[in-house]
Amino acid sequence: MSIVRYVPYLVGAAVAATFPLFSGAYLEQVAVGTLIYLTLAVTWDMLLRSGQLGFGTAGFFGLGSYAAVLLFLNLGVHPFVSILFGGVVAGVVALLVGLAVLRLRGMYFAITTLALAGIFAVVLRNFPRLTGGPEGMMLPNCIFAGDTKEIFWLTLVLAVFAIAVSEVFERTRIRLALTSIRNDERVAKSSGVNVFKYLVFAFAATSAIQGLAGGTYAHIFGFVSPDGSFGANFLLLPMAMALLGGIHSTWGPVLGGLVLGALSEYLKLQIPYGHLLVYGAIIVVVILFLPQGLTGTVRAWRRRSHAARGAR
Amino acid sequence: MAVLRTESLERRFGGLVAVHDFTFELAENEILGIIGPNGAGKTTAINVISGLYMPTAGRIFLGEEDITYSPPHVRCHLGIGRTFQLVHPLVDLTARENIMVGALFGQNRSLRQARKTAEEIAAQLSLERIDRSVSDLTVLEIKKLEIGRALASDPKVLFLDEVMAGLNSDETKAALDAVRGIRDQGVAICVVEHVMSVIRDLTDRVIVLDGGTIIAEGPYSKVSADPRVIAAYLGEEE
Repeated sequence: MSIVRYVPYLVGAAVAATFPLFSGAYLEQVAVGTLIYLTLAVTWDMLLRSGQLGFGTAGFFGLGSYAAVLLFLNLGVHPFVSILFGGVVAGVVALLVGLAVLRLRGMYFAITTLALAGIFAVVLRNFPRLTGGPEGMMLPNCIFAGDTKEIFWLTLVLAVFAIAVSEVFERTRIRLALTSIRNDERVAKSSGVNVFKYLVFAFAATSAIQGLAGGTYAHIFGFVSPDGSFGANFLLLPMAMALLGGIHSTWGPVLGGLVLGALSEYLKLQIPYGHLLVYGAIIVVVILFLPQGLTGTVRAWRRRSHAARGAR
Repeated sequence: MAVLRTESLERRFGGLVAVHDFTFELAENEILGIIGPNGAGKTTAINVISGLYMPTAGRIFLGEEDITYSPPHVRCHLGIGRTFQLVHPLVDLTARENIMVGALFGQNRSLRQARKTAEEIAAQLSLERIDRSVSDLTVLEIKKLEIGRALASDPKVLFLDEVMAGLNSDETKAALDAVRGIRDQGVAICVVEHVMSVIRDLTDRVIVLDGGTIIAEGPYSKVSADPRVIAAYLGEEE
C-alpha cells in the first residue's frame, strides 16, 4: 500500500530527469520559467503556513538578482557563487527587516513587505554608477552560454531545493510551530512556542530562497533592471500558483506551478500584455470559489468519502 | 517555599484598572480556587501571570525566579501552564498533534518523545482515538485536549480557567478525579470556577476577587459564609 503513494513522485522525478531528452529549446524555456515561478510559489506558501501573508517575494527576488550580478561583474566570481551570494544577501536583509517588522501582524506586515520591493528598486535605481540606474545592468553573456538544457538542470536543482526545504518545514517540528502560530498565536505562545523566533526564521529562510531564484534568473536572462527584476509578476503569479494548487502544502504550489506555468505561456501568446490581469483574476476566483485549491479540494473529497464509507 | 507568588500585581488598560493589589501564594500540591463575579478580573489575573499581558505594577515569582517581565513562552518553559476559558484547539492539527505542541515546545522534547508523551497524557485524561481532526471531537473531548496540551509542557503550576462549565454530574465527577490526579503528580493547581460545588469539593483554599482585587481568602467553608463575599454576589450555588 505504501509504495503506491510514491508513484506520483517517481513519475514526476522520471519526467523531470528525462525532460531534456525529448523536449526542444522552446519547451525547455517554458520549463525554466515554470520552475523559477514554482520555486517562488513554494516559498511564498512556506511563509503563509505561519499565518503571515507576505508580499515581499518580488522584493527579495530582485534583491538576489542585483546582488548576484553586482558580485559577478565586480569580482568575476563563478556564476554559481554569485547566485549563492544573491541568496545570502536576500536572507540577511530579510533577517534584519524581520527583526524590525515581525512584531506587526496581518495587513501591516503585508503592506510593509510589499513596500520592500519598491524600496529596494528605488535605492538601486538611485546609484547609477554602481547599479546602472534605471537601465539596469547587462551581463556579458548568459550562464552556460545560453544552453537551454544546462539552464533547465540549473533551475530544476533550484526547484528541487525549494521543495526539499518545504518538506523539511512539513515533516519536522517546524510544521507544528508554524501551524500553531497560524491557528492561534496566544495558544502557541502559552504552550512554549517562541513565536517571534519562528516567524523571523521562516521569513529569512524563504526570502533567501527567493534571492537564489532571483540570482538564477539574472544569469539566465543576462540582465537586471529596477522595473524588470522587481516586477509584480514575480509576486502575483507565484501567489496564483500556490492558491490554485492548494495552500499550506508543498505539492499544492507545485501542482499550481505546473498548471499555471503552462497556462501562462499560452496566455502570453494570446494576450501579450494582459496576463497580469489574468493572474489577479485567478487569485480572486480561487479565493472565492476554491479556497482550498485543487489539492485541498481533493483532500476534502477523500475525507468526506471515507467518512461516508465509515458511517455505512 | 511557595511555588508561585505575586506581590501587589496590577494591570491597567488605560484608565481601567482590571487587577490591582493582587498578592497571593500558591503552595506545592495545593489546589487553589479563584472565584468572583463576572468581570472581577480572574481571567485577566491569569493572563498577567501566564505572560499574555505584562503587569503595569507588582512582581511575579515562580519559585525563586522573578518572571515579572518574562515572555509567555519562557514562562511556559519555566513551568506555568494554562487553559483558555473559550477553548482554542489548534484546528489544523490532530488531537495528538495539539498535545504534542505542548510537549515539543513547552519542554524541548524530540518528536518521538513528544508523540509518546501525547499518548500518555491522552490516556491519563481518557481521550481516545487521538489521530482524529479537531473538528471531529466533542466539546468534552476538546476540553480534555486543552488540559492535555497544557499538561504536556510539564507545568509546575496549572491554571484551569472554567473547565467545568457545561459538564453534567458524571462528567464533573470524572473531571474532579482527573484534576486530583494531576495534583498528585506534583502540579500545583489554580481553578477559576463559577460552579460552587466544584470549588467546595476540590479546593484546599479559595481566594475571592471582586473589582480587580482580593476581598477574601481561606477555606471554602469560611469564604462562603463571609458577608463581604456574599454581598459581592457569590455566583450560583449548585
